[in-house]
Amino acid sequence: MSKLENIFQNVSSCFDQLWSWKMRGANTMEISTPYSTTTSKFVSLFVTERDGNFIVSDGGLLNAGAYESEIDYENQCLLKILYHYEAFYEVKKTQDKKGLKHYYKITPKENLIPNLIYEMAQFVSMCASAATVQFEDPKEAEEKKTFRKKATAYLHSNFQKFRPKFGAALDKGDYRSVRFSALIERRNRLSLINFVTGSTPANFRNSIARANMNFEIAATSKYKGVIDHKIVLLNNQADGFVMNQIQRQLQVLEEHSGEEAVNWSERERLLSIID
Amino acid sequence: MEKPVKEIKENYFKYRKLLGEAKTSSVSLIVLDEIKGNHNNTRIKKVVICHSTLPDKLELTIESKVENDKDFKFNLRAPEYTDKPFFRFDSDGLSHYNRAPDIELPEQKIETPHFHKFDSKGRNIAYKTNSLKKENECKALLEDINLCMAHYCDESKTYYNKGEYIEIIQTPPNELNFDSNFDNPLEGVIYE
Repeated sequence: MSKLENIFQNVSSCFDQLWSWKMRGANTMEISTPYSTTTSKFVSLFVTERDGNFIVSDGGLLNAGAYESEIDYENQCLLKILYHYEAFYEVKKTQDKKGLKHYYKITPKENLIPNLIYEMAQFVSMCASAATVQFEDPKEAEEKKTFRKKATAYLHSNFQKFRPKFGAALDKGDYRSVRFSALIERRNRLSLINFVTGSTPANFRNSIARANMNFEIAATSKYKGVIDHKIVLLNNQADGFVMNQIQRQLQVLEEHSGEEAVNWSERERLLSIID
Repeated sequence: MEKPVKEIKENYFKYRKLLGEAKTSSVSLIVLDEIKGNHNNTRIKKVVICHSTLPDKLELTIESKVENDKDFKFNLRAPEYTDKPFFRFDSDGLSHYNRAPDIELPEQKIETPHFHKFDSKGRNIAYKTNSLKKENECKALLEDINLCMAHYCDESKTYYNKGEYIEIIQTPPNELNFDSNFDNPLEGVIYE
């Protein structure tokens, strides 16, 4: 065997050694693939057979954050990338009882399972890696993330009974890109909540503009009749909250939403608005 | 990209002290009587840990899945030093990619259960101890969270009362045990 042939054999054998599997329950197998992410995880996929069809699913791991790459659904650039992969690989989606999104592909032909593993592994690897790309200034990203966490935790603990949905779209069809920081549904009526913050006044104004645009789209959509509240939760403790530099934009937002913005320092007001 | 942790890379001397020197837990028994925010399926408890020579206040966090008590994590943190856990154990979950030069490709994949620590370049490295590499020993460890905890105590030199292992109760005594060894994420999910 020539040296180059040996090199090929070694490459092929090393790649082969990256595959492993374990059983998950009686009828599902987890296959750990050689595909990895830039968060230093190897992609795992789950294979099972149901009613003569073979399913290859990500097991909800992408949405659960198992790849340590949080998908920012407010980031339009990232969403474009993710939708591009989803469409190219023709990946399907479903939700489990906990609300976790599962990405999957399905085939009745056993001999095509490798094709599904190949495409799903590429898909998961690319999505998890794309989600970690630093699209914006790290200080701004941190500001948004910290406020989102604080505000989400507050809404979660105070409105648990209404099961708020976080980072949710108006629907999964035409309005999939119109997302709100939180959606609260009560007796078939909707309250839309947008978190507004920014590490600089310019970023704060952008955040106001994004909230305003989404409220506007919602107000002209087929859902307009069921919307009770359009609430802005304003981080008045952010570095970008400089009143004389954001006042005009804020005024426009309040005029359009028809409600006074709620300052984070007065967040208890949400209790009386939503209750 | 999973970037090297700057604080660890720039002050590796402190990292070695943090991990290598004795640490003491404020409690001997940890009851997981809290639920992780936004993760209803995870029990969690955080306790204070004191370092023998460093003034930093450390935290030990234990997490365990409500429906599968074989799926748990231990994390040691030093929040004043870095926001990343400086020493970790994962009983289950995804394999880690140890992307470091001069390690042959098949050895760069570290399956769970595994520990995580950092090297002098601030890179997050997963590794298996000899006990975790031996199939029978590993299986026995995973059967009992307290055996894993004892192993974690020895690996991280973290004890209660100078040498006693920390113990964990996953399901608080006043709660029902929902553990159903639920380790199949596809169960109950409707695909088409």
